[in-house]
Amino acid sequence: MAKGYTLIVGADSDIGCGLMREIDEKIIAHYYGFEDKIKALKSEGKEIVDVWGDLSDVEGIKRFIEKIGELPYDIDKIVHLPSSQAAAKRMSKFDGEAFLRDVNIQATSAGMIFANLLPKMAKRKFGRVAAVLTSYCIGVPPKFIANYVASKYALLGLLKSAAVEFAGKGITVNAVAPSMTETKFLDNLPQFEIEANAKANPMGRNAAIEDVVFSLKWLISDECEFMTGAVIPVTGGSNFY
Amino acid sequence: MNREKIFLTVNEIFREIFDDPELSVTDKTDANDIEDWDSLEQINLLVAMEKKFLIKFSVDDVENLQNVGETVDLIIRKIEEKGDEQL
Repeated sequence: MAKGYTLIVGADSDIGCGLMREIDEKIIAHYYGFEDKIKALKSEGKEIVDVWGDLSDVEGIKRFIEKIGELPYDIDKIVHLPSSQAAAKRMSKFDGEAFLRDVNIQATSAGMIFANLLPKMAKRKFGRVAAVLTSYCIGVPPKFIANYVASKYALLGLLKSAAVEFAGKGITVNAVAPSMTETKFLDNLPQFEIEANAKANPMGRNAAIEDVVFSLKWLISDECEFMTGAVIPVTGGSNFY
Repeated sequence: MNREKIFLTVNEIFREIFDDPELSVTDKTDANDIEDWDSLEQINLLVAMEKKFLIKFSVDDVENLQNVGETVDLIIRKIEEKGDEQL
């Protein structure tokens, strides 16, 4: 059973803040751009240790992991949320540096954090890992967001690999795959596109933050002990297996 | 701003989006007439029009647009609606 801390990477996202409000656990909150949101939660009485980290390159990820390692806490659970925004771009405009940055934020960071923390969890015979993918990893993805889709697929591969490697060690590794979710992440999209997506959804709306948060909450619960390697569509029926 | 001025501004937006200073559209011009006019460029066009005319489209406004003329008429309607809201 969990006694240690829950590490939430990308905790300053809307989903991260929503999750922190919902769980009664000691939290190590990684943030990058929105320290105020973490401070606001701490002022509400949440037990949060906040750690800044730039995950866009390997050196930054190493420094973040070093900071985590200096904390005198065991980490039992990891929630991996960091993501760059999905910018529409044609394949002919593919930018290798931007692609690597996206992959680092979403996938390399996960791999390096797993390398550091999962063996420690395995020794304690308990661990929960949950990550946010995208419904674009189910079936046919939309055009023009190759960086985002490919980065999420890289993360998916890491999650499945970690799930199978640590399945016998009391560690479960799962993910949610939400459809378009109404967070600040959509700020760079025109309103009519967001509306069009909601209109096309069988349930007539986009995903809400709470839809994703409650799925994550289950995946990191003590009770989620026999499900691993799963990707749960949180899509209102727009995409599923 | 009358229809003719709005149309000329829309034509300028088409020239910028498709990077073609010689491009001239008409009311009847549609996606079949411009090779690169696909779903991505349609979004880019509409976003550029929102910024230029300080209006906001809804999905109901834009989902059935057939050609440039309908788009110009929509812009006129949205400008008029905005004016009514400000009265």
